[in-house]
Amino acid sequence: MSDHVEAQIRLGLRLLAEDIQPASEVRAPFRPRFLALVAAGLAVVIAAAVLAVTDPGGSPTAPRFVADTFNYQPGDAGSQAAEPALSKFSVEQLSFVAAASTRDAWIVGSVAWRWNGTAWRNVPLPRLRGDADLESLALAADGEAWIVGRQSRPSDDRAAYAVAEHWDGTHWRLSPLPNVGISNLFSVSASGRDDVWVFGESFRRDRNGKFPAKGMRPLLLHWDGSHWSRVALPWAPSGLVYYGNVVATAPTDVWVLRNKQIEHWDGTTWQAVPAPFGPRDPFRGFSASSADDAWAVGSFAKRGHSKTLAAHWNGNSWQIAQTPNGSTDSDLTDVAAVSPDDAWAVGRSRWEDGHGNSKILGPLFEHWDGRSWKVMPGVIPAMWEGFPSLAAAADGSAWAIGSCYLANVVARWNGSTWTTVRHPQDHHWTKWATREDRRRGFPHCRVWKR
Amino acid sequence: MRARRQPLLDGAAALRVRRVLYLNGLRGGEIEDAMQEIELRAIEKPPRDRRKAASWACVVATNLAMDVHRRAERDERVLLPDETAVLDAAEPTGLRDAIRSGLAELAPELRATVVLRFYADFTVPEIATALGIPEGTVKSRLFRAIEELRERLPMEAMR
Repeated sequence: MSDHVEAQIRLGLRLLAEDIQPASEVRAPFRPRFLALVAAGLAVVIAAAVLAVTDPGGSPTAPRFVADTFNYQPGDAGSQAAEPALSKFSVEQLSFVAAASTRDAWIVGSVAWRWNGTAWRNVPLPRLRGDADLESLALAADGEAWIVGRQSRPSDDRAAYAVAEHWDGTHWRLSPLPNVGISNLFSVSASGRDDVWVFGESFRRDRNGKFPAKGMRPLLLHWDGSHWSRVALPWAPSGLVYYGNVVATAPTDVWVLRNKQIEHWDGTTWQAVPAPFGPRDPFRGFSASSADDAWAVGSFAKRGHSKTLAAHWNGNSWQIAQTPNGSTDSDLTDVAAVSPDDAWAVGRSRWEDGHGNSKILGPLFEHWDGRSWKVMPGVIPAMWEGFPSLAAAADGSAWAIGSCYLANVVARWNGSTWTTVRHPQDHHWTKWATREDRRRGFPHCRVWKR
Repeated sequence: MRARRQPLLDGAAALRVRRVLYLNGLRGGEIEDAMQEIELRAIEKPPRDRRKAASWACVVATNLAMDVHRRAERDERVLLPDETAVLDAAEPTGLRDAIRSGLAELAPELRATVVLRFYADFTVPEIATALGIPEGTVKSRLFRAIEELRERLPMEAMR
């Protein structure tokens, strides 16, 4: 009797919980494009209507919301997967940004978009049999580029299989990989067209068809211009990877990062690089422009508050650099090293909302000019969720992607401030939003000026 | 040349936590505020075991929701929109409506306990640890909550 009541309560709670829907329940990377455009247009109209009824007020000390510069579109939070092998890294549809110049940048997710200096254009990807999630893009010399990620297979949609695609300047084509089994690639970096490095992980299925953490192994692949080969790493830890990255600036300067471990390849041998931060301090981002110019960013706790943290590698040792903090709580989540006197970092800070409460986790952009880190201004949505990431190029261009209210936000440095840039996407947020949301709008996603 | 990194909660886990907040009576912007706060707390004091991040976040979410209710009570004003008005477009499923109106009438502590036990699938000892209360209190809260909800269940009302 009591069990029966409990079962009804369980069922009722589940039914009720379905009022809250994911932004997108379907994973549809190859949906016909006109549908996406119709949806995008609709969302813009609705967003504009929402904005028109929300007042741009705020106290004098509060961040100023500037509704008229609103050019931000709520987007698709992306797909969900049922199995650990797929869901582990599957968060937002746009997962990565890479920049070559002010006129050339890429964002990838389950689709690829290219910036031509004024707008994003969809670039068709090879048709795969299953669904794909693309995690990383590397620009190689002569306009070539590489994308890596994972795909499912129709025969086995619970597992992930590594996928690599090559851009020859006009088309993306699949690049057949060595047989690495069930695997997932999360980072690619190229120092040239014949020196491409890919870092990921391989999985082993247990008897129950699951993928236990202890069966995960790091996977490093190298492209020499004509062949892929598997590269042995000096260490073979198992377990979950929370942070995985490979950075190659030259054939003699390759960095492989796995959680807090860093290994450096000088062309002949691997050498362990000491950890930049203490074992308890979150390590979030890494970038290198050469063997003696690398940055690591993250945060540390001081009297119960999170503070930004950055360390510079000069070829021999790490030095902690002073980084400004936006407010009482701040962190840095990604860094892009361009040269010894040019680097960008992005993070988050707990800013005040319009009512004097310091509770909005908003964006924080910092720039390194060779002498110090300085906070740079931005006009982008007040809220900045997840772990924003960043790319920068030698000509001064810089891009960042983050998210607000389950939507992707693409931000661009225009030389004097960070602004949001329209990006085409599917829009499902209206399905998710409650009537209250529509009435209030999404105040935290309104653009603010600082 | 950047890597993938995993936010504290992946899509499915974040959805689950949003639903815990929703079942605890938070709505719209309040849910997003709470999600922000959870993210902040994860920066300041990350969960020890990342694989249990979703459970950790459910606990933080529950406590945040109870804070919201306490503040509302203290300020003697209604912060939350009328719960039955928000979702009037929903199809009339008897059980769901019964649970919705039943939850709305429960005291925040009872409501939080029910959601942890029957939605988030916590055990009684886990709830006790999460909320910092004795197991006996968890059991008595569950008993009271079930009794109050039972009266509203469509099948039970006919008995």
